[in-house]
Amino acid sequence: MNIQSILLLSLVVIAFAVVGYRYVRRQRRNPGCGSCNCDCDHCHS
Amino acid sequence: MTLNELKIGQTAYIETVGGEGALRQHLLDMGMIPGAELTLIQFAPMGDPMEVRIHGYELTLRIAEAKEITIVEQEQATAGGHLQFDEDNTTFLHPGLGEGGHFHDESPDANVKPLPANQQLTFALAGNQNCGKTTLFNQLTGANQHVGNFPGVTVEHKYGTIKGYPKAQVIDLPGIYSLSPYTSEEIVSRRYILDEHPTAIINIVDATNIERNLYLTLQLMELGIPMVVALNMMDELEANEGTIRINQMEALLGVPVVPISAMKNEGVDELIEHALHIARFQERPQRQDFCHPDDHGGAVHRCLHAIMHLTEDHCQQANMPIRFAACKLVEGDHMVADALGLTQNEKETIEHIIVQMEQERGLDRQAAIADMRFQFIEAVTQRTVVKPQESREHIRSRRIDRILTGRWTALPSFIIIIGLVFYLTFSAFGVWLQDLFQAGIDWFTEISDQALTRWDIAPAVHSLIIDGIYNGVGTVLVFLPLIVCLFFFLSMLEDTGYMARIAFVTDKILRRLGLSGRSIVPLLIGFGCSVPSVMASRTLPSERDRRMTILLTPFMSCTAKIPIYAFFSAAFFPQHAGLVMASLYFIGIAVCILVSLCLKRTIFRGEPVPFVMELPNYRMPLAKNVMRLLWDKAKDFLQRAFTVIFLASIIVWFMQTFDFHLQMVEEAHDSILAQLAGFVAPIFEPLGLGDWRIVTALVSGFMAKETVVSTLGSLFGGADLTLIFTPVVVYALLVFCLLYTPCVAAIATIRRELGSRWALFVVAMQCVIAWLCAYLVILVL
Repeated sequence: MNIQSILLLSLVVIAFAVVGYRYVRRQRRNPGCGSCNCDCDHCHS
Repeated sequence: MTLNELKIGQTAYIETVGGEGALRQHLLDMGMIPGAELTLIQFAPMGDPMEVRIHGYELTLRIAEAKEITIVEQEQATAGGHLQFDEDNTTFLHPGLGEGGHFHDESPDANVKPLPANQQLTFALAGNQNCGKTTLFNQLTGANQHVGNFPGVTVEHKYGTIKGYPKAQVIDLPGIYSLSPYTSEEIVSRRYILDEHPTAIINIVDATNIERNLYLTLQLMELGIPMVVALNMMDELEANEGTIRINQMEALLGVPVVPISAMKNEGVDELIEHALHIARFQERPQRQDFCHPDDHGGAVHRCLHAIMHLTEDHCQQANMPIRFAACKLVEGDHMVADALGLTQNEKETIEHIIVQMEQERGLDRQAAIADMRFQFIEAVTQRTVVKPQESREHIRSRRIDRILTGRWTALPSFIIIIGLVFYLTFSAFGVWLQDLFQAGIDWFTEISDQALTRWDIAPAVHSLIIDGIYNGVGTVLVFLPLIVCLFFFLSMLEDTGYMARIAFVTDKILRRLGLSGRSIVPLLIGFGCSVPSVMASRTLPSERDRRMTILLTPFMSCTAKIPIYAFFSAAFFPQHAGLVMASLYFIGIAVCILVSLCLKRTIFRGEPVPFVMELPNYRMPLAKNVMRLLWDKAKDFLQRAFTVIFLASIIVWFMQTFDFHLQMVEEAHDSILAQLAGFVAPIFEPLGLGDWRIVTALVSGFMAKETVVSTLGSLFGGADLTLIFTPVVVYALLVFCLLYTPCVAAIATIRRELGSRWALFVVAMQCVIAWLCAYLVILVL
């Protein structure tokens, strides 16, 4: 695997980890958060 | 003579209000008190419910409730006459309440104890439903909350900070008509004000409907919390040649009164200054006593003051405002009685006092308290309000209503309007936008693919980017225009005020299904998304109706399922895509009706709650609000696409590309995904859906419905689906997708509203019904 492939893969893995972490944290705090028309403060702050 | 016998256009006066419990209290709180003048406007197309005009606004109620109200055609002179203020009309100088400068007395005699300058201030924004609270909240905080023209758009507290004042927090409470615990929103709002102890209250009052709005104002004043009254829609009142003498009203009420127009952002800065002042200096309402010794012999006055003396110590211990507690004890509010912890002897003494008052006043306890408040309001408005001519908005509403709620035109109009909404979304405007979007996404995928090839990216990473992420997220993203379009039209129905008419027109039909007309709103919002629709059910005043509506909303096909329908319709039914879509929506509605009939006869026996609702004037939605809503919907959808669908796409790609030894697979059926799905597949075998890829897609749909399409896109790649499935099997799949478990966000919301057991019940019930209906499709077709 060349360097550019490793870089791109790292980027995807980091994005996956960050998005996943934020999604799980948000769902724990406020179930349903981020869904269509969710009215929570988090989504509308 | 009872109210249901009144002829259209005829005016009469209420003699007695029958019934009992919370509904009767609610009717009284809405101004249906003995002596009140009302006019019958119309009956709904099916003869029930009816619309009456009382205290200058339109109210709906069913024939069954109308039969409990007796009326007389002539106003009856009441002994004791009407309450009058002693003050001379000409002596009202500006009272300057809630203002600094020479109006503010900080001398030791004034006993002013200002809060520290750095203390956090909390303002409760309270008012009737549909009086502009959320508009004012947005102006105060710069927030982007959705504003509707339907009673009860706000269903939970929303917090924000007043612009330019980081230490001042404002809480937008759900709209309420009184502090009586009738709906769950009223309980929520009352509990917030009583238990959370906001520093001050901003009471927003609709100036065009002032009598009914002041009813809540008086109850808020009884709480003894610093308060400022914001007279909203003053521009509309003055445009119709009405006005309010602000100085007089401020002097008579004993709280600062600020005229504003929340929509035009007029008077809001002045309101903020007053609010900050009364909060900081803890300036409480100067008047909390609305009974009068001369009012009908002073029976109510003596009763209330006797109870206030009797319960003073209990109120101090329970930290409850004394005047508020006395009124609620007379009204028979058990929540207040329990909180005070009265002894048996005290309870009996209070009961004797109340019975004595009822005999002297000639009214029962609830009616006497409501009458006392409306007497005071009438005295205030007689002195301070110059009534407008019938407003242009109201004339326009009456004209529109002749068609939209007319006897022969209401139902056809409803069908045409809803049909038009779906046609514009799925056949005309939405599809045109979708094609544009598709072209853009295809172009972007192509240049990305070329770039990855040029940079010599490893095949596995190349596949992850193009087959996994682009294919997954892109397949869903293309439906953004359709979803935004449908939400746009649904919000237009709500913002214009038509949604309330739909509830009025469809009440009788829904009652046969065991629901109330008000349930139509959550059900219609369910066509957009189940999460807000479940939350919108909070406006329903009965727990039975609320539960039943929540169980039924997931049968309404939400916008997240549109990608699934569109994906398969394009492949299998290109000539009849519209028809297939429409049939799915109708199947959803039909199953909803059948399930509601079953629930009505099993779990939810009994009658739906009465239909007492205000019909707002039609209004043209503001372009700013519409644009804000569109942006919110687009943002929410993009957020979902780049969070849950992005994650699901990568997980699905990984599981379909690798086996349990984390080796890349040659054939997809050796993958982790294929082996896991193989366990569940036999259940779907009778439906012709035993393919592991379909099962995987359906399971992934639990996260979000859009992922069904993204997963199918990844798993089937560019394969020709028409060679793999027959149209009948695909239609069964569509029916299954329409009816099976709601997504995790909707389940979480149902769990929050009804608890875990009901949430599990919804999942199980819907999966079973979906399987049976899909099987029926296979058998019939």
